[in-house]
Amino acid sequence: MSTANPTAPKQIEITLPKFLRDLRVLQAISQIVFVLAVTTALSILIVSVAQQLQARGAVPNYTFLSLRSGIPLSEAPDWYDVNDTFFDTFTVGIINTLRVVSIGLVLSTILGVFLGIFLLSSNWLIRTISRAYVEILRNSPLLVQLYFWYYVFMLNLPRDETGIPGEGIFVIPLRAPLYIILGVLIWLFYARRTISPPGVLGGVLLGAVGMELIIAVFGYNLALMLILAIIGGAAFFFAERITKNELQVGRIQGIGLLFTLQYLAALGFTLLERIGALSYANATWLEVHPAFFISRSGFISPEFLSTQNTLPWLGISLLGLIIAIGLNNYWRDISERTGRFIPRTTYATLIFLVICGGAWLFFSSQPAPDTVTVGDGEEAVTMPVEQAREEELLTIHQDAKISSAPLVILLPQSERTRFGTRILSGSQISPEYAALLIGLVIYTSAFIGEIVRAGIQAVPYGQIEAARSLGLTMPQTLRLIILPQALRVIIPPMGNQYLNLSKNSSLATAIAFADTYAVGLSIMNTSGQSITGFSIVLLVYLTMSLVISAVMNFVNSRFQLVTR
Amino acid sequence: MRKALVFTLIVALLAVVGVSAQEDETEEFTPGEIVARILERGELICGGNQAVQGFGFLNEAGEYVGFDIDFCRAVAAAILGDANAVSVRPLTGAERQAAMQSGEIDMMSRNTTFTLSRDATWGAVFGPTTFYDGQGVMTRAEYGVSSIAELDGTAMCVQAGTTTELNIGDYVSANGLDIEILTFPDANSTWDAYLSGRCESWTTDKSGLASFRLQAENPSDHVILPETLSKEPLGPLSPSGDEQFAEIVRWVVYGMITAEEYGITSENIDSFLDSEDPNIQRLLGLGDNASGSYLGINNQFMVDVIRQVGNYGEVYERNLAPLGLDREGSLNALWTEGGLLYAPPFR
Ligand SMILES: N[C@@H](CCC(=O)N[C@@H](CS)C(=O)NCC(=O)O)C(=O)O
Repeated sequence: MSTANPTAPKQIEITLPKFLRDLRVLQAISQIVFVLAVTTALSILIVSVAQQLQARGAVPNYTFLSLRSGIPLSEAPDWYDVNDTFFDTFTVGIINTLRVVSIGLVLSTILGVFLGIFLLSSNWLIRTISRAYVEILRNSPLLVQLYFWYYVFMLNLPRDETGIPGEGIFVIPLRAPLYIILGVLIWLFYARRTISPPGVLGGVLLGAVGMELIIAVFGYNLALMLILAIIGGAAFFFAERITKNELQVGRIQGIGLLFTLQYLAALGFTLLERIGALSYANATWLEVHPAFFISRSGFISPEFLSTQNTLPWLGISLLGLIIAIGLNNYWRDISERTGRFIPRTTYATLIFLVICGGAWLFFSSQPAPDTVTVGDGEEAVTMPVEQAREEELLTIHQDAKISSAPLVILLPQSERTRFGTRILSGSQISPEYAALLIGLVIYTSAFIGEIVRAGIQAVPYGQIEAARSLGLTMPQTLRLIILPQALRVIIPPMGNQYLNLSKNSSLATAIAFADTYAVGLSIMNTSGQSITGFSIVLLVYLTMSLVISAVMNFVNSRFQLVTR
Repeated sequence: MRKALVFTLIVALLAVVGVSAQEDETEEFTPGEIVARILERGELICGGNQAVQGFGFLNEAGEYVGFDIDFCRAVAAAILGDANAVSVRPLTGAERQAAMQSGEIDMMSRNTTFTLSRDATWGAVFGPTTFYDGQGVMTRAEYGVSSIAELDGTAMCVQAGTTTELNIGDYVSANGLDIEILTFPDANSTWDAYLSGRCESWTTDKSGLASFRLQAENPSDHVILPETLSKEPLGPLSPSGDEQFAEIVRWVVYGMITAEEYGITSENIDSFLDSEDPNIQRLLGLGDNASGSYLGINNQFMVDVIRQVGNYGEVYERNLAPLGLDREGSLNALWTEGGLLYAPPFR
């Protein structure tokens, strides 16, 4: 008897080799096939484009980089000129891109973080304004915004037509940044006190406006300023006697402080000028302090010049910094061992400042050099300073550098020509750079603001309540409780915005800023090397993107919760 | 991330290997290809200009008009018998090279200077020069400046991707001037920047300066300085490889110049159709004379060109005289009148 069932169909079995039935092998094979297919397709494409070009006499190569480029660039370091090579031209473009991107990343982050906080503000006005800001900026094309910043904003700033100070030029006196610094200092001082900080800030603001009005009416008069300073000082000390209302006390003290401090600061500046740290050759500079210009030729700010004492002074200051840090650590150890409180940061800072300041005084009390070298190269001659000045052989910069002070701050100066005002000194930010930077920062900050808002909202509300119940103030809650937790949510999407900003910087070409892409276009046109030119431009942006994402990945891994 | 990077590198490597190992026949235009595609398409695609009045300008009616555009129209008339069968692609200075290299346009007629490097690397053949120009500088009359050297210490605007960008760089460097050169992507933004006062002067071909000066609210506020910085022979060009098409472009221009020599205009052409003069018969392809047939197109192509577009002088008068570009005594007069315009014989 057979047990076999003759009616059962014979099973046809395709026996694949065993390894082909392994899912991993199959996956690997399909991947390889895919990669091969794509690679072949791409290389056929690239090869045929290259052939096409070869046929037209434009053989792609990189040797053209060592040819003379002849491309003039306005925004270039001093070493660059038209006789340099294409490689140098590219280098200038890359430097310009990095200048915009690096500063842009920092500024858009700062602005974005504030925006994110404002978006959640309990103040209706702040919240609504920042919401409108975000919506308008996020929903209009960046190119349009750049055109606005350049052609509408920058190129319609006052034309520099008159001397300094004068109508036409928008001059910000040195007082303005001073007011801001004083405001912040005073606020910091009051933030720890019971007297109402809003009152004080309001007072500072009132004081600044009042000061400007007084100056507008009476001119900047030292005697008048002294009287105001004394009145201000008195008001500061007697404020609490005059009224019991905290807000009023704050206000009076704010005004008083501003009047006094601004006089002291003016005296300080005079002192700086005496010891040769500040130079302003042709203006009675206490009357106006024209430190910043905003005009159609860009933003002009004071310029720092090094002298022959700069390096030694920096060296000593560095030494001071090391000593201060060392002492700080030493005191921290003592504190930790003995539990004794030492205000170590204050001490360390003081020590550092004393060393820097002492070195400064030492250097600036040395006599200033009495000879100077004029002319360059073969024709250079060394002559006494007096003679060079008399014969007017020195540029403003050379003249200012004849000082024993370790650093010289040279204020912007100008000259009238038939073309309008020509800026002679001061560091200048071109309108192209400014427009690109403003455009990128403002645009990107809107996105960052939303990310920060979302990040903050991702922190459970209970955390905030808990912080409040511990008695933390709102700024403290923000700094110590919310932001550290929000950062974990904020950092990953932030990386994307940074990448966007770096790539968007290539829109610079629309507003005449010589960035990598704009310079690349000119190079491709001049050399006829479009494929190779493009490949270099791509490589630059690829490298920049990879570096940014690597840094962001690193930062991200540092901020994530350490879990086991 | 890492995978993607490795992948990109592999592709790049393969591509490089592929390119360098390549020795095959290369693909490019062959004679007859461009005419064939124009006939099939029914129109000529011509790289032109949209911003330079008189040369290439998009007027209010949405039509491209100008001296350069008329040469596109003439070639269309020669090949298709219809001067209006032209589609103009406006190109900025920097876009020209890629448009030419990619072969997407049939020809270009856009105040483009004939230079060695362009001839060698653009993959293009230059046709005859239609306008002999030179680079100049425009500045505001109020400055009272009479030479470029007096502009020392100011800013000058220029357009990217042009010969003028490079010329001014050389000039400034050779003369030791301190002139900041700002490069803008197209003609209109250069002009806007100049008008807004960002730059005290701007530079391009003198013909371009004359054209933009007319667009100013008050042309007499602007002066063109006397110096001529360079030679800018402007003319049409076509993709290399297709000799037939290049010859058509060349002989259409020569034909228009020759027609002017003989006094044949769009108005009086009909009276020449029974001319006994063998020179005129050869130009117009009358009788048993071969003309267009040498080029593989309609034998009487010049009749269409002259009737629909006109001779060189008519094209000049129509477009450039309004800009104040006087022809008399200039390089652009006929050779018989002391100029440089000279056409080889139709024979
Ligand atoms: N002839 C020069 C300059 C020609 C040129 O591009 N001129 C400008 C200024 S007149 C122009 O036509 N621009 C038109 C545009 O950008 O739309 C060259 O070939 O490089």
